[in-house]
Amino acid sequence: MKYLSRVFFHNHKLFGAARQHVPVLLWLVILGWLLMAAVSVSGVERFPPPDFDAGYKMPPTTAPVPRAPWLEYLDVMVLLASLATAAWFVLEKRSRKHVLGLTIFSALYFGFYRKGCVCSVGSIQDVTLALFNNGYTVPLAVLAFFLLPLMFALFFGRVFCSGVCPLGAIQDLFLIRAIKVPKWLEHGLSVIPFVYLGLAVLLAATGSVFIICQYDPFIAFYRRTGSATMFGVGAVFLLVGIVVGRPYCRFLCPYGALLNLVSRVSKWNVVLSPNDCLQCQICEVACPYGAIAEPKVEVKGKTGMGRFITLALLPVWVVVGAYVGHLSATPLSQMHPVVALAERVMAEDAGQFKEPTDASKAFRQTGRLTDELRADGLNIRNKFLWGGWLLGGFVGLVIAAKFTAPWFPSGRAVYEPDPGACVSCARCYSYCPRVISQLKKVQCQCAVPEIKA
Amino acid sequence: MAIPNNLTASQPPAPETSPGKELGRRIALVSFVFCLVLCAFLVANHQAGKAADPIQSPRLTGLKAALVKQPKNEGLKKEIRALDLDLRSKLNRRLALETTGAWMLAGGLAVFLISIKTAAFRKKLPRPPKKVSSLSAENRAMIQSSGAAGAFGLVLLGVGWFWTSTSPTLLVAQQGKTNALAGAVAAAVPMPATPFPDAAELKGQWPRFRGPDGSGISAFSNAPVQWNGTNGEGVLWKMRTPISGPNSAVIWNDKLFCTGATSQKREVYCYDALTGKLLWQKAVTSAPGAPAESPTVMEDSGGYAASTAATDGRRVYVVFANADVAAFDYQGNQVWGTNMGKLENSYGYATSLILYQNRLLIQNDQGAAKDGKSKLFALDTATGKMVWETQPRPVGNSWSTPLVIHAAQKDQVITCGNPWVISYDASNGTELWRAQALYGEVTPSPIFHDGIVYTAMDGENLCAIKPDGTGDVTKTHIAWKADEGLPDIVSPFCDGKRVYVVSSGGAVTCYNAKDGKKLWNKEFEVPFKSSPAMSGDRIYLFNDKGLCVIIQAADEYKEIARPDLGEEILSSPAFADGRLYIRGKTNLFCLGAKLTAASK
Repeated sequence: MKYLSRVFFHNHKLFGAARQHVPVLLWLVILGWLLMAAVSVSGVERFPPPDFDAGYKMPPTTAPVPRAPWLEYLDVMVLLASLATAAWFVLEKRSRKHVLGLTIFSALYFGFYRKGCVCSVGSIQDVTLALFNNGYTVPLAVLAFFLLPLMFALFFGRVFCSGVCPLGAIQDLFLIRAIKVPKWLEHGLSVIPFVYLGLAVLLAATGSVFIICQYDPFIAFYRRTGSATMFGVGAVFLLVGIVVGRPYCRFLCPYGALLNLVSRVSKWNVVLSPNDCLQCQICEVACPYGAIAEPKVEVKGKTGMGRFITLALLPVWVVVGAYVGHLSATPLSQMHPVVALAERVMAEDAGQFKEPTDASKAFRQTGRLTDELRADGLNIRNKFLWGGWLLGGFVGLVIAAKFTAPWFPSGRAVYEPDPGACVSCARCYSYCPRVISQLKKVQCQCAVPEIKA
Repeated sequence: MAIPNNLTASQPPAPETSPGKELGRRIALVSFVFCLVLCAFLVANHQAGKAADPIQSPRLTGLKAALVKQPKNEGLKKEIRALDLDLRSKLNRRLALETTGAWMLAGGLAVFLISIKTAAFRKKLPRPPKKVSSLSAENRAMIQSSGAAGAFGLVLLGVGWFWTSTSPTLLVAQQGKTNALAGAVAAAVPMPATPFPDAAELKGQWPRFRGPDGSGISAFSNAPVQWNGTNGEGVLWKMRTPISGPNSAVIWNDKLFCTGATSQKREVYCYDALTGKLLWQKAVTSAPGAPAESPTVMEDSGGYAASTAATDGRRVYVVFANADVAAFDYQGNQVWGTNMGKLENSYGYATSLILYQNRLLIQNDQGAAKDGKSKLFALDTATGKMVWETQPRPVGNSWSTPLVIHAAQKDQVITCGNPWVISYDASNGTELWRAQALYGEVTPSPIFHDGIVYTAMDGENLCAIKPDGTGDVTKTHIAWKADEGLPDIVSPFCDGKRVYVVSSGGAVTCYNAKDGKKLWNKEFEVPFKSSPAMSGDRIYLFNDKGLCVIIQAADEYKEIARPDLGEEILSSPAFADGRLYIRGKTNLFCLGAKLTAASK
């Protein structure tokens, strides 16, 4: 243990050398087991009431009182205040400590107190369903949770991610020492959030499933209950998050994909010292999220072929993606409960299963015919045929954009946070020599009162 | 690129050993061990709780079982209550421990994270690597990033493709299937080359009275439960039969057959089962030597066409009260015809036809037992020639339909007559065993399930007979008897676990199939003549008024629905995929749900 401790705390190239991977893995395994043990406190257990035969009357079943409506507005106010505070901490005070304090508050309030719901990430689905289904009205609080972080991103960048989002907060708190994800890998993986976003929108629009909520990796920890799968997925993300900064935010979060797009055009953003950058690269090394963009200027005469090929392939990606998406209509539609039930009932009728499921049993109790159910299922599948085209086309477009982008210069001459990728954690401020000196200058000005002659 | 020297020191920094870091390191270690121990405890506690599931406590289950046998044992009750309380207390203690443990674990993790972050915190600025900026490196980075995006894209598309190709779907596979209810006409199926259908060919068909095995159980579990004969709801089609009759429909693929007869003529009807269109209507040409005069029958008891036809996918076989037996091909051509001679039957011949391989089995019970006129015949289905006949049966006229079963390594034909249940070797008509279990004017047909033959007749018993004996097995092979709610017309029904009998007066009684213990009884006070049938776990009971009581196959009476056809019903239902066919006094009904345009 002493050796492990020494390795962890003293070695600067902890994850660089192969010989040091073994103790790291050992640590991860132990911590993984530790997190997975939380499964032991999951689940609701039932024990039927005793068989009373002495005239005792069981008390009527009571339902918990719903949460008071004003508390929803309180949540919105807290969100608004948190976003404003985050913007102030990040852009005005430029203080990592303050952002860390806000992160802890968000984990406690939006995480442990509000149990991760309502959250802006999941609200994408509510808004989508409301747009495509007239019978579904999205609550104002949910709408606010969807819109407010986007509006703030439009002005101040991803301040929601900095210390307000409970999913980001728990990952930020678990990060101990980040290793660098290679740029090319980071660039490749950045496709996934957009795919996940498209998939979540399609599934919500068709009324199939709120997949983001179903596979929310951290909600089980905030609620201290959940399925073994939820705990398992969450544990994996937290474990990876010890050495890879915010893996969910960077490589999966669909709301992050939206914020990424919006913050690219934000009015104010995290900036270090664009006018007098030393190009020391410290910010790039210090950023645990790989969000510092390198200078990238035109390289004359060497990228023409690459640009031509990637641009020529752009429509191919879109068309192929759309076609594959269209083909995927069948498995995608099977995520809809009605289609899944129809498939199951028909399979049972065809003798593929001996035992019915609870759902198929319940369906048969209704007396409806398999043919009716099949017709319903086909109706829904038809939606997926169209949805598949759109989803596939969107995914193809994202791939094409990511495929093409590296060949075009950003025009950036200094090291600066990438407005799309930067989660506004404010860490880089503490490392940039220019910012440090600027902050010190400000502190001195504040500490020494002006002497009037 | 000017980089301050103080930020790029070439020597590795010395380990930081400030007191704060050392304290953090120690706290991290302690909190880590604490969390580890706590986890072990929580896991052990959870596993122990799972192993000793109070719901499955063998002692509690045993005590409850004992209480069922001794319901007035106060001591036992007290013991159960005490044990129940004890188990609950333990469960609640375990749950409370888990809740507390979860909070402690969360606290431990928080301390661990704070301390390890304190210990791992470095004030010094990181040392960036030496950046080698060259054109080739820039180009390489561009190619790598672009290639990675392309590779991920290809992987994603590949996953989508693989996902699609490995996702089986019946929904789509059956989309193109010719849909009967949408009005499509199935393509004509040529007559199979084999002389009789195998099990695979029989699957899903309804080739005889009460289905392929005479059990009344449909291979499809999706029969409708809602219809209204008055306003047409749930009625896919309704066709008036040219000559009415109480015989039931038989179905082979998209063809439905039934018969009608008067004293003057006998007809066979072939309908398109999908649309209700009458495909052909053929009169039976009596065989030479048939009695010139039709026998006198009681119209209320079935008339001249009480017997249900049988079909094997090659021909349809019919029998009438005047003893005419005939076979028609699916185009409506009479293939052969014969006559069993003048029948002595007090109500009119009503036994339905059954098939065994390429043999048409006809149970011809007539006269009195002492007359020795009752026999069981096997005719060749292709020619109508007699293959074998039994010795005269020691029974009088009966109206029960025989049953072919496989038991004791033999295919047996089970017949019911007053007073004997007799089993014959299906291959040659040799008697195998008999049991005295019936009485009076025997009409209910036997059923077979899980190695037991069930027969029932008012005035005698509901009997569970083991069909593996020889000779008279009355005293040796009757597993159990029951005598409540017995039928005199309606055949018994077995759902696999329970046996149901329906008396003509309208009482439905359910027995445990294993031991004959009565489970429940329900009085409807409306006469029943239609035999029960089942689709899925729903049992259909049509009463004479046309009301169908649909109940759940269960240990207690559970009614699902009571759709009304509004027409007198004497026949028994037949099933196809999603459809139920029932013949009323005047009309033939196809019940089911209409498909929407999306399913066409």
